[in-house]
Amino acid sequence: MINKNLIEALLFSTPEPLTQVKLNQIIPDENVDLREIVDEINLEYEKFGKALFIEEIGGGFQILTKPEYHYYIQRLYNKSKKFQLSRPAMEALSIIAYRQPISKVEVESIRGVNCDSVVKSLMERELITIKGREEGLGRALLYGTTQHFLEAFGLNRISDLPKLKELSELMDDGQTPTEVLDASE
Amino acid sequence: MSYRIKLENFEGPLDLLLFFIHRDKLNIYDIPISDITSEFLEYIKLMKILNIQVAGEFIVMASLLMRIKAKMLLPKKQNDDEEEFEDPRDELVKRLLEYKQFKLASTTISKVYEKHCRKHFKGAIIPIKDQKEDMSQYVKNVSLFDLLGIFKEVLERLPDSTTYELNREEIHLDEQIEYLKKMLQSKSNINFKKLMLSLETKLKIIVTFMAILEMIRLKEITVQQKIVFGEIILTGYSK
Repeated sequence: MINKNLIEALLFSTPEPLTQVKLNQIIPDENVDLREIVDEINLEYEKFGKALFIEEIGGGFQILTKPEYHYYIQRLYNKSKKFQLSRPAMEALSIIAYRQPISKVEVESIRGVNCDSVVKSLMERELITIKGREEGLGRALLYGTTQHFLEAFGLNRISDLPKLKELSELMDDGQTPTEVLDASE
Repeated sequence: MSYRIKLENFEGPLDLLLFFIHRDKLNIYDIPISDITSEFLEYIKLMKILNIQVAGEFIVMASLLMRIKAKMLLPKKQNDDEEEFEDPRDELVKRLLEYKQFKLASTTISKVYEKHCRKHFKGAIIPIKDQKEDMSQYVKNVSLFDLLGIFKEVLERLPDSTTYELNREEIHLDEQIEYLKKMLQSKSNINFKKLMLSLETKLKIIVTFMAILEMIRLKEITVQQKIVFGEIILTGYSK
């Protein structure tokens, strides 16, 4: 039982997701299965109707407030914690997320426009990083998403990204992205 | 007029093509290249009138469209039995579809982000100030092409004047901005199309359109469109 409270305390005190590796460093002598305990705590939270829950993000676990308190928490902060990405930046980020590692030239050829400033701003926000260099002529830099990207978007791993729509599905739906957005709301 | 509007914050040539395709409900596999090419060129011309810096990519796309158009005019080779003749549009279709795929993905990912932002963790660092404010916040659901479309329509509706007056009109950007500001003081919002139609001369329309773009830039107004291809509404931006 001490384990459970200890894990809760650890989760509570860190702003970053707590990983199994990190936990093993903190309590090297004991063999604790983090996921198992997280499940237990989550059950308990649910049972007592707490305001919190624990989510698996970026390969670790993070304690979060339930979405229904968002409105008030936002008022507490008096300012949004969200960062705003422009549509071009969001597009480039998606291309990089799905196609990583990818060079800037490839991103540009998909978007059909120059992406210098967009890639720069994504780098500044630490959502993408240089993952290496392309083989062959020019050895272009290859970009990929970061751990921070996973945490900011609440994803556990890259494969948790929503599936890309098949090209065949795109051909006759005639929908624009905005329509899709409206429909799902 | 010595300022230029950067298109970078708006959209590229592929967006313009997808805009046409969606607006006219075209079959993406059977794009009427000839019509699309001339309209594409017309939009480039409009952008030039408005001093919008036309990115090189638009010119490249225009020449690609013209090349495809030319190829389609050539008689098709009769490949005896084989049905395999290459449609010159194939490459472009492929690019459009791929781009559309990622456009959709980016709205989905934005939603994932929005959703995640409703959950808060302890000790989050609040960004002190967003270094660069997102301009698209001020333009909700309206693409530059929507605005250009109405601009074009209004220009076309102007009666051809048969007599020529030689008195020179003096309309300044500042004046039009003031005009819009005053209008927004008495009304909560302005219908973009009605506004444009209420203007009598070409010069006035152009300057007013520029005033709107300038005011979006200065964050003095927001532009919204409730439904796709619906009315475009201008409202004062309240801090």
